[in-house]
This record gives sequence, C-alpha cells and structure tokens, in this order.
Amino acid sequence: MRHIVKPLLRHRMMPLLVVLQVALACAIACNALFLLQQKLVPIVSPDGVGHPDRLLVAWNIAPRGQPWPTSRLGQVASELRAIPGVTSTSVAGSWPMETVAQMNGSVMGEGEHAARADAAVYIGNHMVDTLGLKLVAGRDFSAAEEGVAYTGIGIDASGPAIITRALANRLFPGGDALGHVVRIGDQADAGRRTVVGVVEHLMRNKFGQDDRENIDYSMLFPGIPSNWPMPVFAVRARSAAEVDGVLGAVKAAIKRDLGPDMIQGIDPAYETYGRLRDRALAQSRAAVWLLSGVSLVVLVVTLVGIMGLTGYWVQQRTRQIGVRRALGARRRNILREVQLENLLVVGSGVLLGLASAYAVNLWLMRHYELARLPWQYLPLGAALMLLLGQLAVLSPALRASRVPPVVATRSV
Amino acid sequence: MFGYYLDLAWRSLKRTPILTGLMVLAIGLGIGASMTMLTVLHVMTDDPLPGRSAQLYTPHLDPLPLDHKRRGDGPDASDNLTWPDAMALLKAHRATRQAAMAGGSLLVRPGRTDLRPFYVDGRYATADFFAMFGMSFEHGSGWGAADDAAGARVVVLGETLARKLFGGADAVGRTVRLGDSDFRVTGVVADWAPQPMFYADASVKRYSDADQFFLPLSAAVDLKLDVNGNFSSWGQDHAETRMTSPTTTWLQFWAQLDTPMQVAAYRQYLADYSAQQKALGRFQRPPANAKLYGLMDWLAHENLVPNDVRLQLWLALGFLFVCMLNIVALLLAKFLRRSGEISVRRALGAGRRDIFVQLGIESALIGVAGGALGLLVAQLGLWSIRQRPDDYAHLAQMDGAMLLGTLVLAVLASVLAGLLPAWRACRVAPALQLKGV
Repeated sequence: MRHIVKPLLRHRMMPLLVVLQVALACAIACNALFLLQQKLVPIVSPDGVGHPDRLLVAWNIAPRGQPWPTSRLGQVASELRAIPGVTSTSVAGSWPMETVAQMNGSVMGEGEHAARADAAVYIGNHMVDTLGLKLVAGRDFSAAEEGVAYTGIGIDASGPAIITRALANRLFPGGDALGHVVRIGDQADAGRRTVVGVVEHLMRNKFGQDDRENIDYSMLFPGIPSNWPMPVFAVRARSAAEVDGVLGAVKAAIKRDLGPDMIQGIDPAYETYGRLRDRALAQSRAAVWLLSGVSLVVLVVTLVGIMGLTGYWVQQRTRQIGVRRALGARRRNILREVQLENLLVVGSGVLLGLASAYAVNLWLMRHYELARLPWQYLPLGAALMLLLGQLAVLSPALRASRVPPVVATRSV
Repeated sequence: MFGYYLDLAWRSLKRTPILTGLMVLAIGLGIGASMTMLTVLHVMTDDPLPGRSAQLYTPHLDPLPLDHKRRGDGPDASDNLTWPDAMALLKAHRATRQAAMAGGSLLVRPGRTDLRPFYVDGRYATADFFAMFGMSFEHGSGWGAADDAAGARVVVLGETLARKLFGGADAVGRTVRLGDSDFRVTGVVADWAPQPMFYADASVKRYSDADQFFLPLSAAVDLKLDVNGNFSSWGQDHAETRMTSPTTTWLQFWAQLDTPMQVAAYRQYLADYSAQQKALGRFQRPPANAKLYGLMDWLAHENLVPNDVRLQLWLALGFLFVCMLNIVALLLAKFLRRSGEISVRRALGAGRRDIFVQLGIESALIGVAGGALGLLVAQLGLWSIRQRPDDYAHLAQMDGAMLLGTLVLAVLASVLAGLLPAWRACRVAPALQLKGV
C-alpha cells in the first residue's frame, strides 16, 4: 500500500485534479438524478385509467350566469350514453390530467392521531366504469348513491367514497380500509366519507414533489357536483375504431343541448384522455430529457478527464514500471496496482463528493423548497463514480501492464 | 510574436485532433448550456421599459387590520390598493403623472358578420396611463380627466385589435361593443407589450400577450366589469360593492417621479397619508409600512423567475464548472507531455513568460472554437425552451449582447482553465528534461 500512496503524495497535482473532478461530478450527478427521479414519477406511475385512447373528455363548458343545474347535466350525460358505441359516461367536477379545475385537500382517518394525506378529490357519477378503474376491494357506488343531490359541490357532504389502495394504506395502515371513515379536512363540520371500495390506482391531478405513493392519493365521491361552473363530461367508447364517430356525436350533442347557454367566446375543449395526459406531462418530460442529458454528459466528461490524466500519469512512470517488471513484478501486479491507485484516488473524491452532494441538497432545500435527498442516493452515487473511475483507468492500466521489462535498461 | 504563437498553437492542436476535439466539445457544451439558461434569466429580468423605468414608481400602503393573517400560499393583500386609497393618491397629484389600473378580459362582439365574438385582454386605467408609460398613438388620442370623472364610455384600442375589427379603416370615432356596453374609440395605440408586464397583478401571466384595449377605470367600476387578478377582502364585502370598498384591494398604481427630490417628497407624502388614515381610524398598522418601489425593485420584490429556471441555471453553471475542470486536467496532461519541446525552447532563450503566453494562446484558441460550438448549442437549447409550454417560452431569444457574451465567456473559461497547466508547464527545469530527450 505504501508504494501506492507515496508517489500520490509526492506529485499532488494529478491525483488532486482527479479527486476534484470526481467530487464535483458526484455532487452534481447525485442531485440531478434525484431531480430526474422526481420528474419521472408522474410519467412512469400507473394512472389507473384503462384504455386511455378510448376515453373522451370534454371540458371548458362555461355557463352564462348561474352554474348548470345538475338535472340538466344528468340529462346531457344520459343522451351521451345513448350514442352508439358508448359504454359509459360520467359528469364530474374535475378529471385526472385536466388541470383547469382541481379539488385537493388534506384528508385524514378517524381518531386523535389519525394519519393525514394530501389527496385529490374527484366528484362525479359512474367514474369507476368510465375511467376504467380496477376495483381491488369492496364495490362500486350503488345507483342510489350515484343519485345523491348535493346542495354544494359535494366536497363537504358526508356519504360513501372509493379510495385508491395507496391512500388506504396511508390512512389505515395494516388494516382493511372498507367501512372506515375518512374526514375531509380538520374542521368539526368537515365531510365524513365511509370507504365502500378500493381501486388499484388513480393519479391525482396536481403534480408537485411526488413519490410513487403519494401521487396515487385520490378519492372518488359519487353524484354530480352542483353549483359548480366547470363540469367535465367523459365518455368511454367501446373500441378504438369507434372513437372518431363517438367524438363527433358527443360534440354535436353538447353543442345542441348546452350551446345556447354557454358563454360566447369560450369554446368547449375535447380530447382523448391519452392526449390530455401527454399534454399534462409535457413539462415533466422536457425536464426529464434535460436532466438525463446533463447527468450523462457530466459523467462522460469526467470519464474522459480521468482517462487523460491517468494516461499521462502512467506514461510518466513507464521507466519505473519497466524497472519493477525487470525486478520480478508480473503483469497482473502492475495492472492491479494502477487500478488500486485509481480506487484510492476516486474513493477519496467520492467521499468529498458525497459530502458536497449533501451540502448542495441542503442549500437547494433552503432556497428552492426541494425535498431531502434520500440516503439511498449516496451509496448509489458512490458506486457509480467508483465504477466510472475503474472504467476510465482500464485502458491506461492495461497499457502500463504491457510495458516490457527491457524499458528499464534504456536511457537510465 | 502573436502570429508565431498562434501558428504553434494550431500545429500543436492539429497533432492531437481527438483530444482537441474533446476539449472543444466540453467547453462548447458547458458554455452552450450556461448561456441558454443565462439568456432565459436575462430576458425574464430585463428592463421592460428601457429609458423610462428609472422614473416609474409604485406606491404601496398597508390598510390591513392588525390581526390580518396572510394565507400560506395566497397573494399578499397589500400588494394592491383599495379604491378609496387609489382615488386619494390620484387626486393628490403629488407625482408628475399617476394612474390607477386593473386588468380585465372582455368579450368583443365585432360588427362584422364574418367574425365570431371573442375574448381580449385589456386594461382599465386612468387618463395619465398612456403618457406615463410613453405609449405612441397611431391615430387619435387617449381620454381626459373629464372622461375619467364622468365614467365616459370611451376606449383606446391596440393596433392588432383595431385592424381585426375595422380592417385598414380609421377606427377613431367608431363604436366597439365590449361586454354588454358600447364604447366609442378615441384612439389607436401601437401594440405595446413590455416583458414582463410589470404593471399587472401578480396572479396573471406576466409574459403573455399585449393589452388590446384600454378604457376608463371609472367606466369599468360603473359597469362592474370583470377584473383579472386578485380581489383581497378583509371586511364584510359583497360582490356588488367590493370594487369601491375601503376593505378590498384590487388596484395597481404607478407614478412618474422625475427627480430624487420628488421621490423623497412622495415617500413622505405616503407616510403622511398613512398617518392621517391611521388617525382617522381606518389604518391600524404603522405608517412606516407604506412603501414606494422603483420599477426594477418592484420586479425583484415580486420574484417573477420560477424556481425551475433558477435551478436549471445552477445546474448549467455546475455543468460548465465540470467541463472547465475537465479541460484543466486534459490541458495539464497535454502541456506536461510537451516538457521536452518546452525545455528546448527554454534552452534556446525563451523566458518563462514567453512559454506562459504561448500556452495561454493555445488555450484561448480552444476557447474560441468552443465558443463557436457553444453558440450553436445555446441556439439549440433556446429552441428547445421555446417549445416548452411556459408563458415565458416565446421570449427565449438571444440578443447581440448575449451573443458576444457567449464568446467572451467561452474564451475566458478556457484561458482560466489553461492558467494552471500553463503555469506548471513553464516551471519545467530545462536541464533535467533535456537530458532525457
């Protein structure tokens, strides 16, 4: 070991540069990969919606004056249901991936120390069928429950609810959520919802700093929200081939039924759920490309830098290596030696890098309200950098091991 | 000598094309990424009214009750003024020019049958608005103080809207139906879209399109037209009366103050006004809470640059730093490999300074090539930013200053990166190296 450390200390410049490069790359890569993972969450998480290309969404249906009466919305929905090729329709207050209208809030279980969660609330009728959600426990809302008449939007009203599995696990850990009550906010008169069903997945429509669990915190309430100016109609077509025909019929029906009382100048918007999702995630997707590109180039640039320095460092010592070979060192010994040396230098760079990765994260947390870097990223980043270092040293090390002993006899 | 060094540098770089290419690529990518984000930051924080911004100030009062708490993510209620305060400031006439304003979207019902009704953004303002912000009239003029007092149904149109409604014909004197009322056109202004829209309420998109109509604030209040922006009430205000309520803020106010003396006097006036209102029992908080912001200070206070943009800028700068460190490493290896050549030059009489300059020029040459590549990368980066769905995306364009800045930064970065290797290389002892040649 001593014969490896000593020369490093004597010629400090080279190893110091490698240490600095590794430390900087490690600090940046750890944080960039963490940001990348956050932006990736809404893209890779399952949203629970079945056959997104068969689901048509209509929104931006603004009434002139008073909000649409629920009876009228229900009437339109049943007309949409009668369109050939339609299997299910829904009228709702907000819709996944449609961010103009959102209902989000803090919900909690029962009791003094109940678990809380920031969840999206979707209020609408026949949403399980129309969204194509997969029930994993309990049942869908009954016809009587769907027929509820709210006095307001319905968010403060009590009644049944269907929640996602992630939310059920969060609010009722280690227990069956069915039959339990979820409170919507901590006021005394807050709505109380009894869980009647649990669905596998349903993404909330507000993206922040999510992980794969809390992006799935959503609740469904039955019935049509009343006194709500921005209703969403959703229609599920039986097959992809029928989508175009259904879309035309939906447009015509909504224009015929509601058109005369819409605000002039604001046109309803129609889109398949798949396109809606693409658009809602465009910003995240752009960030993912940016961050992955930057991380990759940082790593490649560091690789090249280490390679260049080690190459020179080995070339410098050609004669010494020749002498050692002449004195009996085998090729394998030289190879291992150069690799071990690199491991030492990169290792100290990694230690410095992890400390600075953490410091950068602390600074970002203070100034940009970022989440804390999970500790798992540190060993991951360390392993990545050590691997990178070994990759960079491979070709110079092989070159060093091929130095013939005869070099020792030349020009000493 | 410079020419000779340039020639030497060129030969040396040509000898190791891959290494040179890598260094140019590294500096190009680093500079490109940094300049992309610096350009975005530059256009977002640029002076929206060059030449005029230094004279424009926005007064802020604090009419909130003592026990008023701002909701965590909600807007600051004291960012805007109440109707009585705005009118008092207006009537006091303490500034060269002053105007109260608020934004609105109105449905335009064109007289032409081939156009459907559509919504346009515009501004409800008082008479000084046009002169204070230096807007230029294509036709006609604005309205006067008398129109403000009377709540006259007059309107000034933006050029684009005027052309859309009336074609090439002169719009002055014609009538436009906005919302449910008719307005007489008194003038047409050239399209005017300062970026950011510094005078707009904090809740609207600040890098969006130009205002296309301007009508008297008093008319908007008479007709209870819809307002874009925050209405913050802390009293028992009803929707019917909140526009003129003393406990609802919704108005923006700007004043033109030409001299430092005027500014100081205006500050004093605001404090006096607050003290007087406090004596009357309307204000509860200390008069020192009244503030006067300059235009650029106000924009800094509002902090319009999203965190994502700042974060990406830091990422890009960190990336540039990684690239520079990489070039330090590669140049060090490259220069020290040439110890033999350097010692020959030293032995033949070149001073350390000469070697240093020679190697410095070689680094600068890499910087020039990297800067050129960086420009291309930055154009690509800006193009990708223009494809983003954000409201500032369309602004992401490089101007001459940023273009020049890119090249300067690239050369500076590469020369800086070359300093340490060049210094190490010129300390080579000639005798020791010559032995081994």
